[in-house]
Amino acid sequence: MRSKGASASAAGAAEAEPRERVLGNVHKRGPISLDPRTVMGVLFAASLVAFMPKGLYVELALVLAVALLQALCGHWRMALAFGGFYMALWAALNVLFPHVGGVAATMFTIGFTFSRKIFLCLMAGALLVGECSVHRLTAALQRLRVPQVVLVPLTVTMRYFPTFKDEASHIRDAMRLRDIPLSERVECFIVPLIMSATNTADELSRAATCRGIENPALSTDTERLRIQAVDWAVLALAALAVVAVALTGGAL
Amino acid sequence: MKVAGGALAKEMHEPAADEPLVELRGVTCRTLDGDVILDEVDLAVRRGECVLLCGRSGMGKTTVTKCINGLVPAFEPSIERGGSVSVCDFDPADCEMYELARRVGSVFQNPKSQFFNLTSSDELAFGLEAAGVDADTIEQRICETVDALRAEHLLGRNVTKMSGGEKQSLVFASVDVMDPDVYVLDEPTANLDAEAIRILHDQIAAILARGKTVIVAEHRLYFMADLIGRAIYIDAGRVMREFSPSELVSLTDDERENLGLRATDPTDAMNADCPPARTGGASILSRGLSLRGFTCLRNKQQVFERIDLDVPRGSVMGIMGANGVGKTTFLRALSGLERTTDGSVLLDGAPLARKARRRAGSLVMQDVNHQLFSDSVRNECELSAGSEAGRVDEVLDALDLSRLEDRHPMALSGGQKQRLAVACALFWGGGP
Repeated sequence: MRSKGASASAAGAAEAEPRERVLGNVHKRGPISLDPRTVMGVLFAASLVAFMPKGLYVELALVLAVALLQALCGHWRMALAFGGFYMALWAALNVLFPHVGGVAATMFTIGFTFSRKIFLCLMAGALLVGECSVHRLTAALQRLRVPQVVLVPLTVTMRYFPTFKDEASHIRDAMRLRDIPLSERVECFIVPLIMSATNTADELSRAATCRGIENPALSTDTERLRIQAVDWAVLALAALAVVAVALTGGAL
Repeated sequence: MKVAGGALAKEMHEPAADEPLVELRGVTCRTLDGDVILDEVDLAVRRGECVLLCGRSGMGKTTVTKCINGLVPAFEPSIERGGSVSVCDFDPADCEMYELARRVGSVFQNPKSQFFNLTSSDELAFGLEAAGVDADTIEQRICETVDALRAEHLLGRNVTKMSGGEKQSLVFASVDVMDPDVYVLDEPTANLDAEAIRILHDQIAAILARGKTVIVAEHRLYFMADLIGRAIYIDAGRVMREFSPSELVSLTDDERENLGLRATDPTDAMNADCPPARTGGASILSRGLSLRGFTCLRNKQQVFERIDLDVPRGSVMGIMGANGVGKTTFLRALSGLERTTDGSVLLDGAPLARKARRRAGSLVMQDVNHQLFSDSVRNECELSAGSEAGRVDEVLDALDLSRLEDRHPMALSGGQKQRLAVACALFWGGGP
């Protein structure tokens, strides 16, 4: 009796419930989800901090803070990986290389030090790519009034990457089936690749034009981006961190 | 502003029901070199009609569709169009493409190069998004389309992980979301398998039921035979004949052959008369190809069941099966393109290792664009011919390519490219 009633009401609920939103759905992974513009803000802050002198403790605190942000957005594996990577980097620079010495160590030291300098940017960048689809990113950039001349090539480039990988592997197969002289291999690879890229570009632009991409009207933001309280909070913290690092000037 | 005002005024005037929605009058297209592609074409399509454009490849079907969806002249600066075209009271040559886009939806051959977003839902929104329609309306249109076309499975997908058939369904649905009056389909089934063609057929039936107008250029007559109101036969750039569906279906095989048309009936299309393949006997063929326990392994799993097969020299063997059962993988493995295979492949009794199979065989791929490397038809053949260069003329002639020998392979039509790939394969068949 009871189970029957429950199933009936469940069916009723399913009927009444409107279809889940189709557009701008963000798969929420963690306790918070950020607007792409916020993550771009964090990336900007990280780039500013990269140019400032800072001590180990400050750097460690910043890395932990961004890792925490990644984890809160649900990318805990990303956070752990970056944490581990930072520790390895630090250990190599401060423990391993001073002991080993030599030319090799000097060579690596430069690269590793540079990686450490831009480490925060890498973290924020990874979060941006992990959080947003290309479509969402484009919507955010459009909201930031980035002009179409920048946006359209950017989107098309991102769109072309998977196709490029496919095409390249097909062409490689086709070449393996024909005895192509060594001297002509590069040409035989590049020519069809460029041809197919040109073809794809041409077909894509035909299809886009036939669907009205040239419409001068401002395109709709179907992602429905909105800066929320948590976004403001993260942005404020990022700004605070920049100011704090600028003021302490590497003392800590 | 002036343009927008003009468009608005045009929209006010709705054509009467029996007035043609699409009308071509005395349309002539010629290239700057003076080649005539279309010659005085007259065509009138009423609202709600479904018209099939048929004929041999390269004879002008596609150009007719381009005159309707505006690609001629917008994307073909080298084609000069004469005569008058009217589509929903627009002249495609004389209005902005985005104005036409709200009235005319186009689906093309290649599903791979018609989407812009990597997520399917965003792709469905693309057209209306560009037009600046508000998000709730877009959402509602998407839901309506998806319901009408029974395509819920297309929502929220990663487009790069979709099959060719699903991609074409997505393209069709994205066009439908814009709710155009006229659907122009240019060989939409060219890259699809039987199941995907059936789905496309049902989608077209669904939009016809809503009173939409459909114009299709197609080789496969059977796919549309039950939906069309009439078929227009185009040859050498002219409208040569008009068939009613019943006339089209009752064409004899010989008549169809003369017109260069394909089978109208799906069962007919599959009704090739051939003996069953010889599955591996006890002895290995001394003249021919034998497979024993042949399979391809990926991640230590067999992609298809082990195959025992004998193909005598001089015979043709067909491989059939649903999408995804491993037909392509089988051919790739046989050609030596797959890394790990098991079982044995023997040619004239001698076992062939992977590398040797690459030399002994040749493969015409589905997308022949990937296997044409040279800068002219003749050079392409010579690249494959090696010591057999003397046979180039003979092979080109046999495949009806000799008048094209100086053309760049990429400047050929789809069918011509395929014939060129076959020509190259013919040279490579010498074997060890």
